[in-house]
Amino acid sequence: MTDYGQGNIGDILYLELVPAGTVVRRGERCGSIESGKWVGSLLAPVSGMIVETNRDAEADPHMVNADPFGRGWLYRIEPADRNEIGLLMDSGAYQAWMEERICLEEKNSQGWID
Amino acid sequence: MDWRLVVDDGVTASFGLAADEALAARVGAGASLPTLRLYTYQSHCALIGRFQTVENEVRADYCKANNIPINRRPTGGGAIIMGADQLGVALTMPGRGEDTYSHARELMGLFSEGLVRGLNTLGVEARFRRKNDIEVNGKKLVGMGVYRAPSGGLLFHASMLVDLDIALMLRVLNTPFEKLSDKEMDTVAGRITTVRRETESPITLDEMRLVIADGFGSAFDVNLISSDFTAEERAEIAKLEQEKYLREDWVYQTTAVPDRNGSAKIKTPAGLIDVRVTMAGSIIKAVFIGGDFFASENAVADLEASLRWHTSQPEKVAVAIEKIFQGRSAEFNGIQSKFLIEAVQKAIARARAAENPMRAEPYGCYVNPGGPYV
Repeated sequence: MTDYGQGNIGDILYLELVPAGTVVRRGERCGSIESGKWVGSLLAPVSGMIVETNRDAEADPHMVNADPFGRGWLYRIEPADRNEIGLLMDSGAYQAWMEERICLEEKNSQGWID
Repeated sequence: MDWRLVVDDGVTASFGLAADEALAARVGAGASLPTLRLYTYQSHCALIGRFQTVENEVRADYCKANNIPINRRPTGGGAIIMGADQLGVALTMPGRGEDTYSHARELMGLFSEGLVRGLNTLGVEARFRRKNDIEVNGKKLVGMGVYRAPSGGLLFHASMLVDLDIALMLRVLNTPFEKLSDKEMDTVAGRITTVRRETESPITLDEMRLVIADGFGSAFDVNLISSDFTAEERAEIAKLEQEKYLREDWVYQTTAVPDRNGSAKIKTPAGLIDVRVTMAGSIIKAVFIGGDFFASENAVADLEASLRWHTSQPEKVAVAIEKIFQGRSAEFNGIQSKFLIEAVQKAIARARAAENPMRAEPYGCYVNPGGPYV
């Protein structure tokens, strides 16, 4: 999860991660997450096999908030098709997308999440 | 715009929950129209939050002896009891692709507005407070939660206390805190209210549904068309019941995040402050603030609720407590905020230091109300 993503959903209370060895498909569910009272699904960014699951983050989900790009990682996935990686946003595209989102959110803020 | 309105009563726990989830999936996929469902469960069932652990939250022996089914909601938050006097409100809407989260946040504002408008027409001064509660003067009346289906469909759920058998609730749900006296338990139970209490009237569930449906119609500017589940929807609901909500591995799953308890007592010039805290990992799940100081019940309830599902980081806890004090310092009658901050921080530190997580000292959503979802 990105830093923007964790900041947007707020304090993460619980995570449910699927075990290593699970085969996932791009855009499909590969776990659940609860923050505040929002419960959502984790969706796989690429198809492939999960080769490692961060059980430490599952036991202490605050890690995802505190260090999303470090100790708060979720999965290591072996892509089935490396071409799918090209379908993901690169850092420039993500930056632009994020800035647009932040702009919109400032306009629409309802104070739902602290 | 037209929405469907589906009304059903006396549903089983497994059907009620499966219907909400199945509709969220279908609406997200464009297979069903946006639907407002106003329904009641067969009295009574105990419903825990998505990631809670049954043994922590529910007195399973009592439930078994009294035929009270236990189930797990797709939505988060605390444990509740549901029955003929608690109105279930489920709104299923399409998401909006990658923007679903922001969209959900906007819709949550309108969802709560629909409920508040309905309550206001009854003269109930209800307000959307914190993340997911509707309160009347600091007392919790409605708990809410949101679930996003993998299809992107959004389920907004609320449980509204038209009435509540508090004694039964206390028999069904575990309390979050160790060693509360009967008097303290009464205090905790007093932080909940009901529509019948607030209106001083015996309002029926059907009357309640009418005002809530009107509230939604005006908040979302939609027409509600009375409807029923389609045969295809019923088949999907039945399938989901069989595959999920009737299965013990769904209901009795456990989480890797432990519950921990801590407490602290502090003597102050204005009296003794006695704080008990239950943590889920590093998040505060529930707080009880007692002692022999004088302060308004509403102010203390407000303070407890503001810390529910709050981060336990000491400086942020201090900010949350100061914020409540700023608004209602007179009601704390001479108790200084610094002492409350110290007591709460100390209880949190003790909970964090607890070597053996206490899995058997849970709480219910409505046991320490004011504060998450259904």
